[in-house]
Amino acid sequence: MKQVAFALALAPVLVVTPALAQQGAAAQAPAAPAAAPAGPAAPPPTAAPSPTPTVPTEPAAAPAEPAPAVAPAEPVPAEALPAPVPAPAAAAEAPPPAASAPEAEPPSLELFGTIAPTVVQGEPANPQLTNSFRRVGFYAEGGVAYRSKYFLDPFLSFGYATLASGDTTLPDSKYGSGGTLHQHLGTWVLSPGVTSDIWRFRLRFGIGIAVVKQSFTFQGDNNTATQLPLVWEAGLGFNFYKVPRFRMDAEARFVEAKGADVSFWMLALTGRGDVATF
Amino acid sequence: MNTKILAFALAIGSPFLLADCEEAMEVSIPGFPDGGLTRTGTALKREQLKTSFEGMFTVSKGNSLLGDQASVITKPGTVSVLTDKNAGFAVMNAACLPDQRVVVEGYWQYPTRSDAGLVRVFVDPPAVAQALCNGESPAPDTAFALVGTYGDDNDIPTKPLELRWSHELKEWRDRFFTVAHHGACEATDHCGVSPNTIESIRLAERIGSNAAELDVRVTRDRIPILFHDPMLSRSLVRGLFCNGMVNQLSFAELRGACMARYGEQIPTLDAGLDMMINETELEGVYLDEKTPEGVLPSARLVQAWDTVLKARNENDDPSDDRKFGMLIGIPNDDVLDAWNSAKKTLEAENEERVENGEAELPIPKCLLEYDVDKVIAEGCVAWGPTWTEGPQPENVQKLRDHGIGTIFWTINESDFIEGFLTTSKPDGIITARAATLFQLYQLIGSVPAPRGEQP
Repeated sequence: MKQVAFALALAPVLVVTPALAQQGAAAQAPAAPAAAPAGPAAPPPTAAPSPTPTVPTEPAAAPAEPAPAVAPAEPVPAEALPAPVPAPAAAAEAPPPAASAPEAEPPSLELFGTIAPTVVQGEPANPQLTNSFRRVGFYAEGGVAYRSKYFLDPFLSFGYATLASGDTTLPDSKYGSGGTLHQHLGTWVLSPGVTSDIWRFRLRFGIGIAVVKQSFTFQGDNNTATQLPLVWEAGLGFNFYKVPRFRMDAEARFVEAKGADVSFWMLALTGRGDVATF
Repeated sequence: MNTKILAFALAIGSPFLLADCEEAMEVSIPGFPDGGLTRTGTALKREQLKTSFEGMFTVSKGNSLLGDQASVITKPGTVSVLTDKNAGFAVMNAACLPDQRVVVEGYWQYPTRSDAGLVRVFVDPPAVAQALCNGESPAPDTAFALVGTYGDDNDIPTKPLELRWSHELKEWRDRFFTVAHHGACEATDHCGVSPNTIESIRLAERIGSNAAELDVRVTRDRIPILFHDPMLSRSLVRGLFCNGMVNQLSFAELRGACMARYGEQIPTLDAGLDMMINETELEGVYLDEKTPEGVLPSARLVQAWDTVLKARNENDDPSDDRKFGMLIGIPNDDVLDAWNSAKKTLEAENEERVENGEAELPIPKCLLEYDVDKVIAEGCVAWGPTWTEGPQPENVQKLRDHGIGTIFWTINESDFIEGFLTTSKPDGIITARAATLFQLYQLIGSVPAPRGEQP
């Protein structure tokens, strides 16, 4: 049922995001022509877009100067420019078209790191004998991703989670004296997968392998057992910070190693930076 | 864009769907809300149950539940109705009520489905009930009937049910082995008990088994336990800290971190043998040795319990006698090598005992699962072939000529059970559908010669 609940929780996002994406596309479309630089044959820079007459605040700037109304797309060396003249008022008020268009981000190789508190699902086998039990843990992950120009971005991640611990008091038996059994559960996760950016949301899905590591301490004897189940993970992130070549996301993620019945939720903070662009 | 998002959503959603397919259903065994009428009565004695209730019954009402015929068997404290319809059974308690009626009530179940409900019947005619309440054990005749009702789930039963005694059961005790496959049911069934547990063995006996096949593995500290898989897989255990291989955990760690699927303790082999010998009427156990490491410690335990049984059977109290056979099961050559090594160790220990003036301990007997000629060469007393090799009647007879019995594993389908019963005429079959096997044996099976009288 928990998986179904998660899918249901995810469903509205999947429905909403196409609309958001379309809105974004619609906003971008009219901006493209405005980005065209004014050519040498461009008409004098009057307040052309405005249907109403504009009253110049500085008369000297009116028809005498054929300065371009918009900033050139290519930077021009300072020495090639004429002496600075006051910019026309209309030009000063017009938004720079090049700045209003989103920058097309080139494909890149991205490194990322994630830290997150975790909550593991499940209960100890002997709750009546369990003295203490902690299900809140911590997850750290690093990885590499290729940010393609297409819909899906592949990644490979490697992480470790310390998930739970607990103490169980064992009574004496014919096989030995009792005592406190300390138990700790951790897991390594190696997962290839894909992400997809839709507006500022980021969907994540991966399937890989886990090394579930179960540790015991009993009467001074330490022991570790391991299991190697398949693992899958799904997450929904939100990009809340973005500068060129670096991004930060907050993400809710569910990870399940089905074969070991180990599953946990996390609320992750992910930093992603480009190390190479193509 | 929408198509891509849909594809991505499906990619995300498919594991959820797959995961849900593996979810085990919770099982609820029905029970009377007030504890039932038996709570107010006096339980009948073991001999009364055995003498007065057992037999083949004709189902005159309630055929949709039990079919046309059903076997009734008894165990200490319980009366069970067994049918080959959906491997169904009813497990009930019997008690004499203050008004001199005898009530038999409990629950019925189809283990392969989630169907279950309550049953409440009364002994008819009233004269028989009065005799039972007076402490007598009247032999049943065709006038003897169990008349009452059954229902679904926890509803108070209202559908009519009537079973009328038809004839005595074919001999089965000490003759034909209905061997419980690691307990009463498969792990995927709805019996509410986990394989290889004390609770499962107890239920197996009640639904028609007179022997059990149990799986033996050893923990890291070499304690034999009853467990099937090498891994602590979720289909068999529960517990957040219950992870890894069975042989990676000590028994203390296993006890602290793991419970069986339905919350039972994972038993040691010793606890399992103790329970079967002292708390059931099972006639034997076949220990399926899953690893070579388990053979020697299992053989030592069998020796120890053989010694206990010998002491009970040789004392002056005949009521304390107990006949119970224990076989070391050999599924492959690795275990066979371990078995031969264990035998040498036990023989050497016996030589030391003789030198010290002590009595020798018997070397356990074995069951070999594969090669017929090796069964004879190794001196095993039974052969346990897989059903997938076919009925092999000529091999069954060949071994019978050597005084060796045959127990096929593991047959659950009615059609196959019928085929093997009629074609091979084996000494027993391992099954997770004990009710079906018992009923079909009663209807079409051949009664093997008593053990010890076979050629």
